[in-house]
Amino acid sequence: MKRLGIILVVLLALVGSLFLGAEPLQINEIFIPGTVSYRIFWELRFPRFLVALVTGGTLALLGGSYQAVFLNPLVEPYILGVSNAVVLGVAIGELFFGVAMDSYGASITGFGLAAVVILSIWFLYQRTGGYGLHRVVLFGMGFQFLLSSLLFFAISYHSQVVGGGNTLRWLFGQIPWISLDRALLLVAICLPFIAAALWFARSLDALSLGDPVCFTMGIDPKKTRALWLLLSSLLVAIIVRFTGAIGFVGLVVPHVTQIIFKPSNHRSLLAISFLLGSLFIVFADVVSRVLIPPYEFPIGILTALIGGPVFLLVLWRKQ
Amino acid sequence: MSHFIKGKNVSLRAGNKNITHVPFEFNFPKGKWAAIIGPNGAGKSTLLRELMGLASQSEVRLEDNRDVRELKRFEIPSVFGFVPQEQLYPRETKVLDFLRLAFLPRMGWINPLPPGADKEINDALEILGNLHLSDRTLGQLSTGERQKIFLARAILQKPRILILDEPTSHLDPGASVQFWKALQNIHLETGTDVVISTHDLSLIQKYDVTVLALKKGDRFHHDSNISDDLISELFDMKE
Repeated sequence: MKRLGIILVVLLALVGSLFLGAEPLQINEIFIPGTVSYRIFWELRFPRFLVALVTGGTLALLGGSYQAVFLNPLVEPYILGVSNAVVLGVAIGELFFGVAMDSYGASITGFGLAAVVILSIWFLYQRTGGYGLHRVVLFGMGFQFLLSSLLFFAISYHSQVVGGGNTLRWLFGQIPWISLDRALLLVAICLPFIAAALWFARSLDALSLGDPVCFTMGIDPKKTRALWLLLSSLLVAIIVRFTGAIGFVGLVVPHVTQIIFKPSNHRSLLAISFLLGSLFIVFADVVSRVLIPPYEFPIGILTALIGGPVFLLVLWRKQ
Repeated sequence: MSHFIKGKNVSLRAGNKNITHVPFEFNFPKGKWAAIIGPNGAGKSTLLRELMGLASQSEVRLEDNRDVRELKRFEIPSVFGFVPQEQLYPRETKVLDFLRLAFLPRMGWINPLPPGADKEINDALEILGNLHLSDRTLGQLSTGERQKIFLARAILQKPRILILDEPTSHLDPGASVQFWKALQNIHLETGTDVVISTHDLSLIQKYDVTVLALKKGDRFHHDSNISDDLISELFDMKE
């Protein structure tokens, strides 16, 4: 009953958010083609809403799964450096080779670098015989530092020598204005994974109890973890390609979910995290647009600004 | 004499290094607890992994003479239940929800909790002697209570063999006594065979066990008992 209530509230809030923005909408005109409200709604707000929804939800869901996969409450979906790889790949393409940030060429450079990182981590994980989890995390963090310092070098070099560039804002994370079919493409990519994650969520219950217990529950910890790592890394790369590295949601939302709702298993944890994460990013995105229009507040900064105090409050009240 | 676990040609690896110099054998006769003792780094936890076929270096055979490495994945839950040493548990999870995870091997990916599961959980809690923990979260329990709950989860899986990795290493002496008593109740009630790795030598003094002592990856002693002299030699306690 309580759960149904939460779902209803979240859905209502999500729909409601579509009507918030710098420009007021005529609700009765939304379904009349050719009107201003129709165009704002279907060409601007709805695609962006979809991206925000899927991004927030998926990052929160992945964060919840990572905590079980790595047996570590402090990991988040960007821990392996995949996000930085995509960002750096795109930035290098744009800054030094004149590949437009929103072109397929930039996807190739971004995903190419991400593939290098994913394959390296995969290789390392296989080599450690599946028991070097801490080393995998440390290795990923090493990648993160390396890639982000390269990124800052590229940007500082470029801003001094060439100047300008749209990349900086994307770096902080940004829900883009994109066409409806591209937004639907992102939804179509994420949905099967989310469905699979919820379907196989019980493997996370087993993993979270440690490898020997997991093994005696009839689930191979090494193979299961490897599969999660591979699929989630791909998904992170795809999302970051669309939105830049929006931080915080993947770390904080699963924790808030744990503390407030005490979900009885990982399927509930992932589902509730998805709902809260999507709600969080959709609203953060609305705030970023209406705060100082037409300036768009970088959402990556906003999530930390809103989420940080909320997180601290929840932790504080838990004492 | 029939055994519930028999090791042949056992060698242990730590990381990528063989720590066993001479491959050894052992035999755990049915009906008696098996206690694996030895100093830190002797290879106790690694041996437990070998017993279950998780490390798969060694030839380990069950009562019916099957090699553990040939067990099918879906058979494992009915053969082995594991109580871990490390304090790795979801702090915010309620005891009842945690114990329901024991039914996961029978539920697969999507089936609901089998009927009667909660009754089984209550029965297990009763055997263990602490009934009223279901609504608390694991983080709210004392270490001793939590260790019994881990034992309950393992036993609810209905395994033929319970494997416990230093289950009392974080418990005070009183809680340890309680824990061994609970384990004995389980053993008497269900007939489950038990393998324990431990530093707690009171176990050997109080209960009738088969001892397997390891030192630096090698078999040091294997018998139904161990003398005080051998113990002080095993742990390098001579001054």
